[in-house]
Amino acid sequence: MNLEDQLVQILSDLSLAATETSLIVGSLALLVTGLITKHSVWIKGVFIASLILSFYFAWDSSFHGYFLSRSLTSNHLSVSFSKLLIISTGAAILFNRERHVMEFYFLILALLIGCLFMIKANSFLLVYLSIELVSYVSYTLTAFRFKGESNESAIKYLLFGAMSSSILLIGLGLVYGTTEVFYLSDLGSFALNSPASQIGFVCLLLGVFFKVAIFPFHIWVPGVYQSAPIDAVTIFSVVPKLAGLLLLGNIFGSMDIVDSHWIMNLVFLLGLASILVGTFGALGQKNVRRMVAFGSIAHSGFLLAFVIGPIAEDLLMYYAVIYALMNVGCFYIISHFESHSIFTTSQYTQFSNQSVLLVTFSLILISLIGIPPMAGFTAKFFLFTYLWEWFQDSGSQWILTYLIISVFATVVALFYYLRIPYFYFVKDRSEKSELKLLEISVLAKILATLFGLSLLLLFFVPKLVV
Amino acid sequence: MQNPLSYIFLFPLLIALIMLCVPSRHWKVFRRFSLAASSVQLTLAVLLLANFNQELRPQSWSGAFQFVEKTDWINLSLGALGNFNVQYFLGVDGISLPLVALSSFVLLIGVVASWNIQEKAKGYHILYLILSASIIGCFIALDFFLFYLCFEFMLLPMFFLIGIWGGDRRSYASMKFFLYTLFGSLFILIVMIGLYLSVEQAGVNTFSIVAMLDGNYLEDAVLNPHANYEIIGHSARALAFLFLLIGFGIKLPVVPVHTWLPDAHVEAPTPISVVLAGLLLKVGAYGLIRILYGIFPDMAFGYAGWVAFFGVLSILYGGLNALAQRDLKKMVAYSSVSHMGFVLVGMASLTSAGFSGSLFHMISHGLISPALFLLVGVIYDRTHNRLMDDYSGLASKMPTYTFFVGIFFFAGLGLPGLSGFVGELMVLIGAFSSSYFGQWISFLAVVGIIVSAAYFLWTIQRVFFGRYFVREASWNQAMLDLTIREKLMLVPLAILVLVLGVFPRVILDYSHNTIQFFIEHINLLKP
Repeated sequence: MNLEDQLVQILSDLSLAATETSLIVGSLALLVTGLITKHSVWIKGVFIASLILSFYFAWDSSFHGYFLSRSLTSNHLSVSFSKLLIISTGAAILFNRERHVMEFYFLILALLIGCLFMIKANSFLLVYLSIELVSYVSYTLTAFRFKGESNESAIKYLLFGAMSSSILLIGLGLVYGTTEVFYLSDLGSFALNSPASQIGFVCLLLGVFFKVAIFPFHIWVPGVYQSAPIDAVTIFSVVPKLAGLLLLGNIFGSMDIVDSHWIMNLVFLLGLASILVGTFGALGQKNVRRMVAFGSIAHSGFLLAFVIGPIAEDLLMYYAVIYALMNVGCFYIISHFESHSIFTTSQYTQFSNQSVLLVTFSLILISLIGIPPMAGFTAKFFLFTYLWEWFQDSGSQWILTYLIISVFATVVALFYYLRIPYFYFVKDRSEKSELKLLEISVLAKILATLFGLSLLLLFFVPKLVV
Repeated sequence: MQNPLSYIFLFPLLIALIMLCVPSRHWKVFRRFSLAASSVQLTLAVLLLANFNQELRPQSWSGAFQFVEKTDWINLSLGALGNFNVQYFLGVDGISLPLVALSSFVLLIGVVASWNIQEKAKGYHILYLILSASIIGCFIALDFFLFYLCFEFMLLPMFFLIGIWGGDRRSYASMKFFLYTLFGSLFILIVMIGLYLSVEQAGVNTFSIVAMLDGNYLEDAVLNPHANYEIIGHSARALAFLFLLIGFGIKLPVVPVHTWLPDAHVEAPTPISVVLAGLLLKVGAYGLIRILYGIFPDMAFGYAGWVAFFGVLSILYGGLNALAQRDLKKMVAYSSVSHMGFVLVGMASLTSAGFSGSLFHMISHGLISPALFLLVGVIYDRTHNRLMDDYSGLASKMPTYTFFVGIFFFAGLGLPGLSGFVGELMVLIGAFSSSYFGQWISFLAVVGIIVSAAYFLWTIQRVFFGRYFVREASWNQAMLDLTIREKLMLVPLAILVLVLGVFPRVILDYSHNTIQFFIEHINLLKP
């Protein structure tokens, strides 16, 4: 193929990547707008417009297959995930009342671009580049406020990130060097042929686990969640995590690996460890954000099961949607309490005039635990059904262990998530301390209630999602 | 009337929705709403009792249920995993109908008992109605998913009802209650998933309890009795049996997993204790009959000895604990543990008499224990103290109160002519005639009756007879006899206890045919 043909091919393929391209154009437009005006209305407008445009292209796209010389791939699931990620990003930013400078929105867009590429990446190069893009943006966002705490966790994040990205690079290099495979879709059983390539493959997985916050690459999570700006945290907890999971799904989907292979056992072990570390780690937390952070590590463990096993698109999609909804709603409510300096669970005894909001908050927390009648239960129920079915087919004891531990993690989850309603509704308020009067706008309450009600609705009518 | 079960199930929820829209300063409105909802429920239950066909002799489980309602609820295609199919499937048979009637009656008593709750009345009554819907839902659901939904959904309102309106250690008690019962229900959840993937109806997986009872297993499914599937070297069905036993056992509760019950009872406000003892424990027992014995009878024969052992352990341990209590409410709570042991022994006997006895004892205890908690509540309302040592000779001051205490204490210890006697007698007949466990277990159960006589009689003697004495002089003015409202609750309960004691057929006629079929069905599957 001569150069001209190649260029024509690339140009025509660019239209297939319209979702991503429109975001890139949007982020450039955002930079230009930032030069011209400092009015946040304009900046936010451009931000929203590019999200809407990109969502439209995602909605409109019907192409399934490889494009841009096989470096990207598009399928039903990745298109659905793109939509979910765009909406979650939009929701996380728009519902937050805080005003930011242009750079913040630019970084958020860059993060989203990285994630969208991550879920469609097919070549090793793009896998690495998209993960790096997301990582660097995340470090910057964490330290965006230049506060002592956030700087510390950003540096920690950066150090862990540097380590894991070198592990990822080693992995990609080893796999490519030993098997000459450069595309995920060609992985097949090549990566399992020699010990070197197996090690490379494990390193590749570990690199991605860093983004998904799977044990032992979860250490950055609590600190970052606690100190980064809350809308950025909302996005961290949903967007890069789901993107990384889908990337793992693409990797495992193209691998011919038996359930009894040692790499699978390792993955099971790390997933189980995430569930245990997440649930038991959350027990000791006093800060609400840290508690939710540990909870999200456990959820990574649950979600991991969907992507390493046989493909179950609808179940994964349902869990992902519910997970996004729960986290965005949860952090939205937390942000309102934090603006009244309510940071720890025990501080929820300091006021008693927000019963409506607390009822909604409880609904969302109950959904995070996974108790009926909330959609979080259905999501977990699908997970359990999936694991049982998988166990029935393969007979691996690991899967059974996974099932049992995920089921009983619910009891522990109950103990910590319920602490907030417990402190507000049940705990005795000491006579001495004066109760604060929290003023939270009606609009905020309505929005929060919508989150709670939609989780309730999705329990009764799960068809709305799958 | 069409779809009476839907009405009895969903009407409280509808009222709760309406209550949400009423401003909370009108606290008196909410109790009237609750009263209306519960009265409608009771009326519907009476209509159900009147229209139930007692003569129906079922040939298979699919023909055993009456007032059946069935619509698709969730129908999802899950790709390779097949279909996810949940039905809104309701129906009652001779086992569940008496329990539905009992529930609506006790729930109404509970509303009357909560008449004076002013603090956060809106929240209280909304939670109460949600609770009542989910209790009724448990008894009438024929879809396992729906059953589990109701089973789990009881916990949340209960947690808040104990946690917000309870006594001094309410936060500890409510959390303990929630953790214990959630832990138990997760065992049930695992078995539910296994059953769903093992049972089919018209070629697709189903949650239908009826299909599970009839045993429509898929070939080679994990829980198919003929597949002899093994998990880690143990039979899958035996594990499932064990899981369900733990799950429902915690709810029942069985010693040694009973410890949430005394705490929850002592801290719960009186009306919630009434519902807890009267109905929630029965949900556990109903689960054992319907799910455990109905779906896994082949395992029940082998494990009958163990089940009976734990039953008798509950009888004795609960009884001896009750004997040692100084707090009246704790004494009543432990007596519940002891009585639930009888229910378990009756089931373990796997005889017709045993099952009928279990069911009858459930109903009878469902009337006696609410009354006992109401009686404890009477004294607690007056003095905010429940210690037995602080009172003596109350009979001279409160004769009517003592009269009712006499009736229900004697009913509790199994005096002939009162309902408690019939249940215990039938359970013991079943136990002695059962060939699945040793006679010594039945003998120990008899010893349990003597223990229960000891603690009830001793309490009467210490608190009600002898010279009048109360610890604090200020209590003297408070020691008034029963009010009209208290009589209004106790009189119907006393009448029912008497009627059932003299004419047990009132209940047994409903359950006779179903239990006969149940036993025949079980014996067919005897290994």
